[in-house]
Amino acid sequence: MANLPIEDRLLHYFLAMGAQQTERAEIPQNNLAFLSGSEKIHVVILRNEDFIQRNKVFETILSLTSLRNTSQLLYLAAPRLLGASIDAAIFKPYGIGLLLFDERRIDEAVPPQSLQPTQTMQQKSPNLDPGVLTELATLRSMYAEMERNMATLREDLKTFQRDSESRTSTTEPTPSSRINRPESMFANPSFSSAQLPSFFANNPWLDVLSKRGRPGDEPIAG
Amino acid sequence: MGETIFRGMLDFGDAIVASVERCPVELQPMLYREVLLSGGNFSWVVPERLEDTAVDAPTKMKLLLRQKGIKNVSVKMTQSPQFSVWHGCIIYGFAVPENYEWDWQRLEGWMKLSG
Repeated sequence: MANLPIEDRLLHYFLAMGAQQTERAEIPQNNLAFLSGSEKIHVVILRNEDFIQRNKVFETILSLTSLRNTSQLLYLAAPRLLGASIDAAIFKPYGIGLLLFDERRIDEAVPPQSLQPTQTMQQKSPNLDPGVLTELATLRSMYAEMERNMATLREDLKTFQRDSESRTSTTEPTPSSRINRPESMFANPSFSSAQLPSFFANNPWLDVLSKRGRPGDEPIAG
Repeated sequence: MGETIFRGMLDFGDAIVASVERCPVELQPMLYREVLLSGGNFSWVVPERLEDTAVDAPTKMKLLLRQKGIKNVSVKMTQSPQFSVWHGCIIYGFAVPENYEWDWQRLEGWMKLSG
């Protein structure tokens, strides 16, 4: 999960919250847009590499305000370090939601305020703690990623089994087959002597040695 | 052979005698009549124009044993001296049942070192 780009992780996050992604071609880079019911959600991403450029931070935040007319819910997705360097509460009066992410998880530090307050995602389940909802969304996205990993692993396992079967059929007999050979050779008359080297043919020692450890097999001398 | 270490100067005649004398006395005459040579070096053949000087390995063995007073001897070479020991190992490994465990009296069997 942590290896995925932040866009994909945010995508999983919002999909797990029940939102639907809109056409990606319509939105600029570092932006994500979703539909949740009749509300449009817009997410602007401040990347780790942009975070160290002060102008880029301001530009990202200002670009959010310009989206007021087109989206009901606005989110800034920023590295968790932003939460440590500024007071996240300053976003609240402006109705901008703040998502803080690190390599492990995504948390909603500040919920957004909708221009149509009756339709926010939080109001759909007013009895639930927002923290629980966030945790649930994170778990859902992790579960979706796990399912994808499982599917990949199943494919890898199938490929490995096919390879090992084809390799076994072309290599020498395994030790387990060697264990059964003396019995099977003498018990099964259809055992093909063509499968054995020429020095096996009419070799009296095969019969003598195969009786080792059985009653009547006494040492010649000793 | 067993606990005896054969030094490099020991000739093959002495080696055969030492080996046979380790076996029961009743069997010794039979063993001298069934000496079988195996090993790539025994497949050495007499070079041209040295026929009156050199002999092949079985003949050499007979001569060595005759010098020690052992006359009723039959020495033969295996069909494929280079590989016959390996053939024997393969036959042994193939035929001996897996559950035949090592026997210190018979000095044979499968010695399971683990599991």
